[in-house]
Amino acid sequence: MGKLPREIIAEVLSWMRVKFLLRFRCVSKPWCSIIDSKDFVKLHLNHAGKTSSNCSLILDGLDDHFCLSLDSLNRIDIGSFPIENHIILNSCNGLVLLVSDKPLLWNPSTRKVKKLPFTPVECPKGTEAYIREAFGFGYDSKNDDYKVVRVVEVRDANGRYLFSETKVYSLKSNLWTRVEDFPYILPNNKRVWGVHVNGALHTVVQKCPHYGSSQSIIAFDVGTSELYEVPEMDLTGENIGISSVEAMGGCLTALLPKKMNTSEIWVMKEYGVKESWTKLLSFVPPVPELYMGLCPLAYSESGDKVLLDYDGRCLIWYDLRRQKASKIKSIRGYRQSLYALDSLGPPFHAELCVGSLVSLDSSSETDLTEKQKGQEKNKEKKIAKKRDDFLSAGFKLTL
Amino acid sequence: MSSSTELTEKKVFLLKSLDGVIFEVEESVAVQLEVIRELIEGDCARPFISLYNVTSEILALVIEYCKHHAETCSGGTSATIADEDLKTFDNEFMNVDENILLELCSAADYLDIKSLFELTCRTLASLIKDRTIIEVRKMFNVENDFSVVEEKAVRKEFAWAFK
Repeated sequence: MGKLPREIIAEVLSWMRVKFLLRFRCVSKPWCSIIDSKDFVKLHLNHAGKTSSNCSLILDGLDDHFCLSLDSLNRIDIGSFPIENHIILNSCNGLVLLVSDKPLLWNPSTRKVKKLPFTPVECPKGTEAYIREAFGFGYDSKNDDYKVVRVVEVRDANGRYLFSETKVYSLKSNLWTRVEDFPYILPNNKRVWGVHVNGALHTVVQKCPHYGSSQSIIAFDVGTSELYEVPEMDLTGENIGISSVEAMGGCLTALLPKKMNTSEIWVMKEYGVKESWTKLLSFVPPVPELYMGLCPLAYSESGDKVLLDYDGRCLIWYDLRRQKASKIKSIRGYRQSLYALDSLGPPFHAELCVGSLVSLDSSSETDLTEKQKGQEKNKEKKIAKKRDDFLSAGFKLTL
Repeated sequence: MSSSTELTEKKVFLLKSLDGVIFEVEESVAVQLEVIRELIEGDCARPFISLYNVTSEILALVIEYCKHHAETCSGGTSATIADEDLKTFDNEFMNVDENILLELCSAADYLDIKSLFELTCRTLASLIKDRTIIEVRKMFNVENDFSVVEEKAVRKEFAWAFK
């Protein structure tokens, strides 16, 4: 067998886990340049989401952090966790946003970390920045950039709500920019801002900056920094409303608490289309007296099961065909039974993360766009050439 | 376009391999080769097509694959059963010598059969993941163009990945 062309090598490698790719950079200079190229990183990312063996769950516990492979739910080694006392907020394209006093970006697959530069809260004199802040992280496909959004709720000395300063960090420029203020009260949970679907971050907010007002799903477009409302499903009277949203399988999902702490999970199959909201499952907890959070994490590779994080206490495979929880995975640190509850808060937060080679290096925009243009031109040429070659050498049309 | 409605009998194509073996295939099988489908759509297809980059051994396998996929998809069985059947077939089909696998991958790229190309790429990827650098070089016929110092430096960048 002769040498395979670069494009075929790239296709083969694009189905591998990052650890093996980092190893195979040593095969030869051409292989190293394939694996380091921007086109390959995108191709690999595209394929990584399709195979659950390339996805992992990062579990952020009170005193322990670890990583599980999504297909087996067995522990995998990701080296030492990069920082103590950080909490995991959200992940996008294999990069993870972590926060303590300063936000950090982390690629667990390449084990690279990037500290974000400091940016002050810009509030007029006499006001105090309330400690409530929220971060979200997403991909801006139009500018091929990764962005972190920070919202800080500013209140006066009496604790009265004034405004919510919003700043956006661009990985490409390594700079923070202030954008229009966030016009709602921040949700309580720090993690609820990072629901990344369709190039936007989502959360559920009270419509007016006073409590008890009606709720809505708000989206922040990572590319344009614009806010918009996402249509909700029509609900009958007995519903309390949407308590949270999550992203799963590229779609927005919503959690609807019901009577006796039963919960429903709905999926918006077509983004932005109200009529496409469909009930996915109804979950009956074994202990109805206690309110438990429920978070859908991922579909199984065959698509007939959903992995649920039950209040950070255990992971459950929910069988969509049989409509019941099918298997509870026992993991060290996790409770092994739904009945063994205690009064402590959720022990873990589980974040789904795809294995990717996405780089955390900032680079100047002009460099990139010119390089990209060059690559696209080359690609076009290559396709045209391939077809010509095929027709001239490969085919002989005879009657 | 008009030809398919005019003819009542099934249209067949003759595919000739690099080593001169001729295979007779029905249109439903031939259209799985994207390059042939394009010729048919462009009304440039002749009933006799020579494929100079594929040996008869590989072409026979490619046709077996396309035939099975064409039959399963048009068989009228439910989508889930067809899916499972294809999965079983694909798994068995990939149980070949690795040199054959490399040639199948190359042929699938050349003939533009997307599903077979992805299948062979994924199989190759899982095959090589636990191999050493030297074994991978040998399998893909790749020459090591790093100097000892250069290779050491590249290895050092992600030393943990070798553990």
